[in-house]
Amino acid sequence: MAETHLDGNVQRLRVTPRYETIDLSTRALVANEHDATRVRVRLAALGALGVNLIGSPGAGKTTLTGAVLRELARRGRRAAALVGDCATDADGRRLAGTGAWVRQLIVGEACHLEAHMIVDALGGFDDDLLDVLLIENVGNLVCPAGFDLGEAERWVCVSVTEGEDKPRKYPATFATADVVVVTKFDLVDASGVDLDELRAAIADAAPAAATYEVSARTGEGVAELVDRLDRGAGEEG
Amino acid sequence: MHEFSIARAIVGVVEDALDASVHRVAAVRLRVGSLASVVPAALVAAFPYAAAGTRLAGAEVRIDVVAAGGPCMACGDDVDLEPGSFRCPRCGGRLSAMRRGQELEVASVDVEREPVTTPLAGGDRDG
Repeated sequence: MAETHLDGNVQRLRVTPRYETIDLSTRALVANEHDATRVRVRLAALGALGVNLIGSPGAGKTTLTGAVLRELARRGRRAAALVGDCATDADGRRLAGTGAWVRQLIVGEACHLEAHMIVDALGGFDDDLLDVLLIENVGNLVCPAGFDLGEAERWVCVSVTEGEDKPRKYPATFATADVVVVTKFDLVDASGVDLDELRAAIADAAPAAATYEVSARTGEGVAELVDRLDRGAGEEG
Repeated sequence: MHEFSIARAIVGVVEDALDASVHRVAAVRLRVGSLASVVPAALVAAFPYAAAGTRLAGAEVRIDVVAAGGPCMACGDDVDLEPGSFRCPRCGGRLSAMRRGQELEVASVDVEREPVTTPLAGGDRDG
């Protein structure tokens, strides 16, 4: 209880604290979701299908992205790419060699892309039309999983040289996949991977995902993979 | 994975949701999915650093872990997965989709509002 002195009299006050439980039911990463929505709106205005490629360092994401960009160009589709790395613009340069609009995003210590980075990067895209935007995430099979980039599809890449355990070792990431791309398929025999077990692990960890077995180097499976972008682009455009 | 930046995001979400009459947050209840790539103990440890200087300073963090799960393709039931397992615990079948387990949300907060101050009748006597 508090006391105040008014005109020489003591005034007693009762101070009653108020406690309350407030229901919020709010997602913690709502700020990223807000930016992901901004990306979706921009891509919809462009008529573009967005793809988020996630995989370990060395899974073959850049080579796959390059092969997809070249195949899309061959089909007369307009494609662009954003590539995230902790350091260097080596991948950005490689992809720019395909002739597509490419921007390199350097994330430093962040180790994953976030939607606000995509918003900023697309601010530099001046064309009115785009069929496909490929976003190659930073090589990392853990951190990118929690960050919606505004993509229409999420492709989780795993190479045959990584062994058949990857989907079981990284269930949280594989659970978010719309598509699983098994890369470097030209090395399937040399790698000694247990392909049956890899396919079973993918089916367990990513039950609703479509699986493609692809060699970006030889071109095996690339056309089928790009067919799904063509179908999507056809629907968007 | 980034528990400190997640803690900062949670502090931001809560601060934005509460009006000025809330003086202090005593507790934060979170729902964290088992497939959310978040380690609950690390989030609890990081939280005070993210909450320092805000209305959440000193708040207790309580975490409900949400099991992964979804509809089983074989028996048709919607099931929760046992930790480390991908198969239906009833029939061993595969799930057709992962419906739960990736949550990362603030369920509720216990707050202390600006107190109500009432004068008591009389001068030196309790009313």
